[in-house]
Amino acid sequence: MKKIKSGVYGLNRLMDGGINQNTITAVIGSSGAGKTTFATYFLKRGLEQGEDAIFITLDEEPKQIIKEVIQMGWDNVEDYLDSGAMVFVDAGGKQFSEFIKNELSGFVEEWKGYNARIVIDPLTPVLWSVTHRYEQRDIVSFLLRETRKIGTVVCTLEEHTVMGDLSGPDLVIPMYLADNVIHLRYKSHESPERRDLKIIKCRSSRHSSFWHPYKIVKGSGLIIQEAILAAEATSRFEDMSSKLSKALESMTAAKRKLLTPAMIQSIQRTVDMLSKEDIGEMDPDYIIHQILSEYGLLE
Amino acid sequence: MPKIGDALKRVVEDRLQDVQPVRARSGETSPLMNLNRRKLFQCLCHHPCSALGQIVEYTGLSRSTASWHLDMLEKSGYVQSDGLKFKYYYPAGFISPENVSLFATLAIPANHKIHASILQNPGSDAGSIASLIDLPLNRARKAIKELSSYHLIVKTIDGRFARYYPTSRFVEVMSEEAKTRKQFIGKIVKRLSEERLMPEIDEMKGPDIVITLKVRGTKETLVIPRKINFNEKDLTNYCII
Repeated sequence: MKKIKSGVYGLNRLMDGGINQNTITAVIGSSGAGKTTFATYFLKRGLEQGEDAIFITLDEEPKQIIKEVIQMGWDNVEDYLDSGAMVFVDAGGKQFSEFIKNELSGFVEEWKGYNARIVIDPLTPVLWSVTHRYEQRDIVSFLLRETRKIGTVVCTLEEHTVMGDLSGPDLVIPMYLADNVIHLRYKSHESPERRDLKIIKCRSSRHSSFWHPYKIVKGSGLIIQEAILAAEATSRFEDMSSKLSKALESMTAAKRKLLTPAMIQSIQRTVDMLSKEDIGEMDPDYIIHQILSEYGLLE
Repeated sequence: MPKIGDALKRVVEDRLQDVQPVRARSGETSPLMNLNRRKLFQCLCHHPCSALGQIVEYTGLSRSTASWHLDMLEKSGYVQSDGLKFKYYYPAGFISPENVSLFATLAIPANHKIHASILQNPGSDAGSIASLIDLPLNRARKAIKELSSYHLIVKTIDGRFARYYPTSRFVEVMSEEAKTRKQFIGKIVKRLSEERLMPEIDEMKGPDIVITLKVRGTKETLVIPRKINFNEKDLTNYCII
């Protein structure tokens, strides 16, 4: 099965190389966990390699999301919007449900085989737009089955109940139907606040079953931590550019051929942003390694 | 070359025309984001076809405040009003149109007291009924006449006395309305969802359906009676529709 890169640094290796193409990934988390950031950087990654991106928003207005995306460091998002490579679809839960019931199959028939990256953020209003459980299952099952045919989908789900309890009715159905389920656990009450990620399900792939701490970093999105290196940890990466240069020099000739000017620019931009950010105890060499792995430049 | 994103946007966003006109988003206002309106709407779910004076009594709001917010609720389609002599209000879709006037008649305090009294004491005459509930006889007679016009009670002549008995009409209407209420609750949840109040239904709390809403980041509740809690022998429960 073909893998695509997730856009989340450190996640691909936890999912045996990335997200399986034409699958549905459910990202579950409470408010502030980073679901929309996860989804946004998933789209960004696809755009950088020429894929089309569709952000279906059922809650926030597109202009609000764009504003937050820019604030989070993706400053050229509007270029993709202007070119039409990325599109926001603004829909309420009822409206989108009507589309799913009446228009989706026709739409998919027309665009079958297209490989877009699609985000539905959040999926929860679709569930709420129908009252009965069996209807919820029907509509979600149909939606996920059809959208697979036109691309790879990330849908976010809101965790409303007690943290860690994924047995709520709004979660059980999509979790069962999705190919991949990722839980973002956000302990905002702790000091310092803490975020952990766990891959609950990943069909047809090996995956990590551990909790992995992660941070949300401006310009980079989510960065998953493998291990905290206490002794050498630094809180600011002043010389990330030189570390990047060294890493690029150490690449094999074969890998260096994969470098395109656009890729270099994107990586450099990410690293420049990282240089200004505080990412706690994370190892800078590990971060650079993850970034280059994301672009397929390292083993 | 056509792009999938543009095509999807056109198809989905065209559906906006089919959706209810009041559509809340972050930063915009659903009519039920306002506490007083929620209070009024909830009151009407418990006391449909109430007049303004009754609503003021039930909610504790001033006449002007209640009147203003009822107007807002009516304009947004949450509430309907009717009545030639006395205007009364009810949640839109809560009662079948053919039964609205019957409920309006029963909502008049004197009428519902008379009806409840006859349910409790079938075969009473007008004088006994009036005396029992401390109502002037002419008022009691007027109420009896109105209830009879909806076939809620029937008169039989026993010698010199006219005695009044309840019919099965009330139970039949309540049974019909149970289905209407179920549909009403479904529609309300859909509309609240559309208005992004993130409704969550708690079905575990007895005779009422408690709907939790997310209003400006905090959780609020809307309580809608699930069904008519009808007990012929219990005057208190009569009031809950």
